[in-house]
Amino acid sequence: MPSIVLLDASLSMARPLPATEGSEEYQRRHLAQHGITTLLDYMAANSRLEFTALAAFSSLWELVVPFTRDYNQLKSSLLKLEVYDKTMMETALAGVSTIILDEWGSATPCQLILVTDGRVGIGAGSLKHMLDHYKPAKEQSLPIPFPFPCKIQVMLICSQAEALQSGTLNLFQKLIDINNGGGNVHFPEGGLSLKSVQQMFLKFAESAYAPFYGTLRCGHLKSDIQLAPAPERYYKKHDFKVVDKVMSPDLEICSFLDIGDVSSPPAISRHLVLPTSTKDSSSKDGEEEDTTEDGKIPSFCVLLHGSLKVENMVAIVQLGFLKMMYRFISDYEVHPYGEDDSKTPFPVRPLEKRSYAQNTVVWIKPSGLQADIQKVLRQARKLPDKQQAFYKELNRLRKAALSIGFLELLEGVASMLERECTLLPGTAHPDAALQLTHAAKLLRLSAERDILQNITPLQTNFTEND
Amino acid sequence: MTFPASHKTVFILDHSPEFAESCRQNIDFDIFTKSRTTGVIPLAPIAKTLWTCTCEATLEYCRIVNDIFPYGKLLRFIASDTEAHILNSWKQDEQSITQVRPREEQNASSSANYDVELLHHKDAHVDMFNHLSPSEVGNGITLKWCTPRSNTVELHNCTGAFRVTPVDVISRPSSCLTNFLLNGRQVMLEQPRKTGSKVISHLLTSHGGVIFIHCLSTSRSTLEEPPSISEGCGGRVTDYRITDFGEYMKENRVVPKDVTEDCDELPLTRSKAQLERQTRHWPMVISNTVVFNILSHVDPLPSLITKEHLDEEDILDCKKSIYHLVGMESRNESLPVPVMGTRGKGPKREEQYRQMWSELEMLVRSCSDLSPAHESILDCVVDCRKPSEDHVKSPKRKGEVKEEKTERISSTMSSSSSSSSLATDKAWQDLDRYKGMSEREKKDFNLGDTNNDHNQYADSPQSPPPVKKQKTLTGEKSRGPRSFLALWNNKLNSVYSRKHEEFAGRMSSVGNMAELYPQMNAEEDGSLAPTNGQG
Repeated sequence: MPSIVLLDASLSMARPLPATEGSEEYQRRHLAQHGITTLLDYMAANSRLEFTALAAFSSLWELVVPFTRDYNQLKSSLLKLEVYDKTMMETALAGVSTIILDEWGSATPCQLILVTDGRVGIGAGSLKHMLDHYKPAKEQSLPIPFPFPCKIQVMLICSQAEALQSGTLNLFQKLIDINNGGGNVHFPEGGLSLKSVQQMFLKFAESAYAPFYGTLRCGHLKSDIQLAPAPERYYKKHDFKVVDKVMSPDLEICSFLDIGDVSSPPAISRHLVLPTSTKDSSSKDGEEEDTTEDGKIPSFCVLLHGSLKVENMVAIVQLGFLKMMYRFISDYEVHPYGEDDSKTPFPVRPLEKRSYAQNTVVWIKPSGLQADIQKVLRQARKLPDKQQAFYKELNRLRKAALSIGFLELLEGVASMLERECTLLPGTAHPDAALQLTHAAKLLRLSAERDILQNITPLQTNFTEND
Repeated sequence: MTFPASHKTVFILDHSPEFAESCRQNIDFDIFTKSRTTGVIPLAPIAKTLWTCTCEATLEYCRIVNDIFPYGKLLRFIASDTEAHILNSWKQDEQSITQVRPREEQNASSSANYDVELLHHKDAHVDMFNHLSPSEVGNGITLKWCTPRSNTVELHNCTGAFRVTPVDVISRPSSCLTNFLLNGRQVMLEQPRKTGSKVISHLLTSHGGVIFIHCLSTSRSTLEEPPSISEGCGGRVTDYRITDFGEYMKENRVVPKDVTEDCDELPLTRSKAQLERQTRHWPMVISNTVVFNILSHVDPLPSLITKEHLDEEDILDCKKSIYHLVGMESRNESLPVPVMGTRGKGPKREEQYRQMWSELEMLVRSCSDLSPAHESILDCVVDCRKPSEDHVKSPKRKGEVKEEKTERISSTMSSSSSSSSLATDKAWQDLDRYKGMSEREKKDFNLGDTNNDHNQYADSPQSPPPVKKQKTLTGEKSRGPRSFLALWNNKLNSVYSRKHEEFAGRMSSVGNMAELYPQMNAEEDGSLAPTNGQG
């Protein structure tokens, strides 16, 4: 996941460490720089495809290096940072929010690595002030919780005792809790020193940026792979259940599907599947040769990539928690994809149709009602030819009117049909008048009859002759 | 576990006599007389009662909620007059409308511009809410219809999908749009940006008669600039069986299943079993297979043999394929093997047949444990392999080994040796081929059930030694004119070979050439002598 290192550049970071004999005098910011460099080195070696940005803050904030995979640039810029004035956490967090939203939107999970000496500042804009003014579920201008999933990792450049004493630990924990995206407060173990800070960053890096290695398998064909970025644990509270899943390193292909049938479903996360060497990479010396050698060994991953691309298909992979139902092509009498591969059994149609996919009656606006009356009238004027269509429209209108208790309409339409009867030209078929009178009469009687009992055409001598 | 507030909603409808009164909003329902010349006086306007209005409103509520949240929401209607009448059970699924936000969408592709207002879950605009202030969002967000550039099917980077329903479901613009979508077309929607630029942010499409709005990612992707596949593992290999694997994928596509149908086996388990059966022998590159390069002559055996059950007809078809190959060989027809990556003229015809039979046996043997029918096919292959092969080959094979030994001492020696130039050529070819094949051999060995793979390379010169040599021996013994004893022994051996546990030392040294050859040389006299004797 994209990470942003937010480094405290306030004056307090320039405080020197208690001098130890014979060694150089270190300031807290030197420790911070050293620690961040350790982190960046680890990432460069293990998760080269991750994006990282560097920002610094005091009373103002600045994006020093925008999101990049260039770890050298990050490291060199880190060393050039200077110290400024006081700590204003609120503006800095707002800045981070803007930077991440502009770059990654609200759906990409990110990680904020806040590196600070634990001096949280005082007054407006300080962490304490901000947290004190936080009220849950209210429209407010505070930057947290962030409008995107974000872990907050607080790297304290101070001893544990110092952090406990000042209450900083609790404040940062509260910040993480309010943001509700996970994260931890980290502090150097066994006193503040160059080594303990380095150790803290290394420990964090190993837990957060460890590469994800696994095996992609399809029957007997398999390939060692790496997923980049490494998949995160999935935890989500739904309306009726909590889903908590960790991805298994065994990725097993269970079937395939045409890309059109997949129809761009929403994804929780996306990862590159990269083939990795099947050999032990214990011998680091001959790395260059290994790469050349590996390129010549057929890899299932590359084969799969090629075929999926050519066929425009996707593979369905079981990640350890897949539940699916389908049956087999061979179970069908007619080939579900067509003998010439021209058909598809997808999508599966639900039994129920949605309102826009059926002949819905909505009379909230007069136009809707008028349109439905017109349909009845149009068929009425073509009687007896359109007898079936006439009764169909009439019954549709009758049923809708009865279900909302709109008896006035039934009376009105009945009158309308009777008038149509009087307006019939002399050349009209006698059955037209009979059916119109019959329909009008039954429409008026509707209120006493069962709503489901449709009006049926009058059986006349003419209909019998048909 | 807390249920969302919208889980259950109760509506109490006032059914008192007051509601029988008119709502006093007249509707001109008789507007169709105007066009007629007769000068008919229109009927008086009618008005709905308050009760009718109530019913209409609740039904519209149901329509919208049912369209957008068809599952997991419960709704109950109670009409209250002198007593409570429960109008429905909880089984009707509904949901509160508070989660819904309206949105407008402009149809710019028609001459008259009109908007279609749609309702959907508010999360579909979560991205926009973060970029715009609440006042900007107001009562709706306007997105513009943009005609998709092409009809190519692609997988969009979609972050969410939500059901939609039109606010005014029966209006002409609404039904225009919904019919367009229900007929299988898609509509891309553009979102205006603060800077004045536009970005495609949503996609409207229907799935099985249900219209969805898909949210597309408008931000940078963390997957940009992936490392080139040609620079990674296996990236330099150029003869992958891409098309063949494509066919394999097509055969293994999912198909919907009726959930009411009984099934004694989980479809997932069955699916994996099918994928497993079909990959028992599946060479990944063209240069590593003969059988799959001459499919027109081997079909339908390769596709039939991986079936779970073979009926009589299948068995017959498989055997026909085998006899066809026997026929070709006896007529001295060349196998139409593409020449790939081999030096010079490529393998000789006899060598091609030997490789083909070897691989065919490997393929059939890998599936021989599926059923007695499968086993009978294996027996057929074993029986049909050219009986005279040993006569021709055995001396050669001895030559080969010698040549390889010689080669190790001096590579020029073999070419200068004119007396055995034929054998030398062959040895070279074999050696080249072996170099090419060793990795796959290793792979197959790793992948496959070792029991099935024992005889993979039976009687091929690159066959890795001890145990395999033994098998070869039994295999070769059974060739030629057969006695019942030979058949019986053969059968017993195949049974035993399945029970045989692999020698641990050899398991671990798979693909290690340095260890294989000395063994081969060491056994040269011992293992090949009987073969010679037989020939």
